[in-house]
Amino acid sequence: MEIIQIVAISIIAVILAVVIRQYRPELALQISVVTGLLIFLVVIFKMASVLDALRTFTGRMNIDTVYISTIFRIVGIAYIAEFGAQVCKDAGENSIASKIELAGKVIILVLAVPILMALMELIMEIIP
Amino acid sequence: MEFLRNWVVNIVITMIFVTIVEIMMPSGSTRKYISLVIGLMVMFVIINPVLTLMAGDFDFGSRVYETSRSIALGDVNYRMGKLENSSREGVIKLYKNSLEQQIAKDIENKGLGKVQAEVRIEERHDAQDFGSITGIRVVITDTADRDGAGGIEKVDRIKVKVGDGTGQPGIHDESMQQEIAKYLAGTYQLPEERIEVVLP
Repeated sequence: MEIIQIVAISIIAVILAVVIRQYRPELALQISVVTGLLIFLVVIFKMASVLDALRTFTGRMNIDTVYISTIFRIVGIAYIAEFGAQVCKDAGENSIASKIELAGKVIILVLAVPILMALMELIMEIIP
Repeated sequence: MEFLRNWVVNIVITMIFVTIVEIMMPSGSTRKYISLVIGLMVMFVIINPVLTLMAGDFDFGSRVYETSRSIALGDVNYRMGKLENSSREGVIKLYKNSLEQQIAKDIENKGLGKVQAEVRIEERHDAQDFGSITGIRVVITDTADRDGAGGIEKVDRIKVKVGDGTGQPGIHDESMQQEIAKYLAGTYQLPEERIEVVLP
């Protein structure tokens, strides 16, 4: 049961962080970052298998795969940006966190704009 | 009938897919953006049969690819331009610096103490005479004692009279200025009026 492992790791990390924060606050931040990465690593392989299943599932649809891959990519970017922003918020650096979120949004938009443009072109083409 | 079946299957699969993606989405502020793309996808799936009927063979993937490629190309071009500009600026700066050092050294070798040279060059890249010298300004900051080096006379200390603000340079200064200007004009093939010599 992975969830028990994850919760155990998290609780130990929280206790460590709370104890250490009184003496060395900078180390507490590092503990939280490492814990986050550990949980991320445990879950990411599961996530990969779920995504594979979804991919084969959507393969039965006869629409362009560009949509599916773009959505996967966007979800991945959103997760990574969120992770970075949360770490920054934990360290009390809210402004850097918001900049990370901004960067994530811009990159997502860069991925989304081509789809939007292609759809626009398509609609313009069918309108006489 | 076959196309109707395909259509319904597409919509069903899309809806299941969208639900799963919505569960997977992170809870932060990027949620809205993912929803936008998902909305586009749902829209596309629903109007897909109409599109194939009216637009025929529309290669959606290649259009998306083309637009994303043009975005990436714009990004690369912008970065290339920036890199080129910065390297060009660096080259011009280096060129100017070495010219200034050379001029300062030349005049210092004539035994005139410390010299600061400023060179103006044509910096516009598209100009025909790109890189040519357009003006030289030489500031002699400190006159040193000379022992016969060069043919320039020693400069006397200039006395400033209070109340006489025009500050006409002495005869020595003028001849030295002219000599330096002449020398620089000869060396760098520049009209003498473009050379400015400032004495302490």
